[in-house]
Amino acid sequence: MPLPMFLMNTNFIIELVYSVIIMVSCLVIYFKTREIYNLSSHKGIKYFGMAFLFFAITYFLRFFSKILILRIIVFSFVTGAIFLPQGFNTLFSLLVLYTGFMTTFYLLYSLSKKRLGKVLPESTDTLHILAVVISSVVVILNLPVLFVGVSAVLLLYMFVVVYSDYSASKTKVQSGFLLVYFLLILFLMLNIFDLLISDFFGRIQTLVYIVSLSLFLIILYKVLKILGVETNGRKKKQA
Amino acid sequence: MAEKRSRLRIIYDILNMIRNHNNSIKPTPLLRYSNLSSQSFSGYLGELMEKGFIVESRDKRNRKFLTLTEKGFNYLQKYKIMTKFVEEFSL
Repeated sequence: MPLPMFLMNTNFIIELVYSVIIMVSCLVIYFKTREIYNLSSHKGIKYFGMAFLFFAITYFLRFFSKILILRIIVFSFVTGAIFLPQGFNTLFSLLVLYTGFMTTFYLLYSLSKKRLGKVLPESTDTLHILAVVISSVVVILNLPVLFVGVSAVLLLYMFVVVYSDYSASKTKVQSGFLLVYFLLILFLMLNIFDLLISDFFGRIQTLVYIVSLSLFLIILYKVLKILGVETNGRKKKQA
Repeated sequence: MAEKRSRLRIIYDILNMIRNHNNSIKPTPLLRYSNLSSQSFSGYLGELMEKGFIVESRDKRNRKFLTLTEKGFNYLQKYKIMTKFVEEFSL
C-alpha cells in the first residue's frame, strides 16, 4: 500500500508541475503572438503562435494520459485486478500523437514561410489530414517505429533549416536560436515516445524534464522581452 | 540594388506617409510616395481599409482623403516590435 501512494504522490506532483509550467508558458506565448498577428497578419507569426497552442494541448493531453496510466497502476496494486481501459488509452495516444505532429508541422511551417514563400499553400488542411493518418497508423497498427521514422524526417528537415540559416547568417547569434526550436521538437518527440513505450525515460526522466522546461522558459523569456508584459494594450508603467 | 521591402515595411511606409501629412492625404500623392505599382497599391489600400487601419473621407469639394484610425497609429507604434519579433524568431 505505501508504495503505490508514494508513486502516485511523487509522480503526480512532478507531472502536474511539469505540465502546468509548460502549458502556461505556451498559452502566454500563443496569446502574446496573437496580439501582434492581429495587427500584422504575418503568416509566420500566426503559425508560430499555433505551434505553441498545440504544444500546450499536447502537454495537457500527455498529462492526462500519464495520470490515467498512474491510476491504472495504483488500482491494479490495490485490488489485485488488472484494469486496462484500452479504449481510453488508445484515444489519448491518438490525440497526443496528432497534436504532437501538428505542433511540429506548424513550427516548421512558420520557419519555412519566409524561406519557401509562395510555394507553401495558405491552407493547412493537408497537414491536419496527414497528422491524423500517421497518428492512426501508429496507434492502431501499434507501430512506434513509424513514429520514430516520421519524427526523424521532420528533425532532419529542421536540422537543414537550422544549418542553412547558420551558414548564411553573418552574426550566427540569431541562427543559434533556431537550435532551440530543433531541441523543442526533439524533446517533444521524446515526451510522446515516453507514452508509447512505457518507462522509456527511466532514470533520465528528471534530466529530460529539466531540459524541456528550460527550452520553453527560454522562448517565453524572449517573447516577453520583445513584446513586453502589457495590460490592456499598454505597457505597465513603473511606479 | 535596393533590398526588396517586406510586406510589413510597405504597410509601415504607407501609414507613415499619411501620418507625416498631418494625417490627411489624397490617394494620388500617396501612390506616388509609396513607390508601388498602381495595382499593388490598390491591393494594399483595400487591405488597410478592410482591416480598419485607414478610412476614407471627403471634404466640401468632394475630394477624397485618407486618414489613419487608432488601429493605424497602433500599427506604426508597434512596427519596430513586430519586425524585431520576426527577425529574432527567424520567421
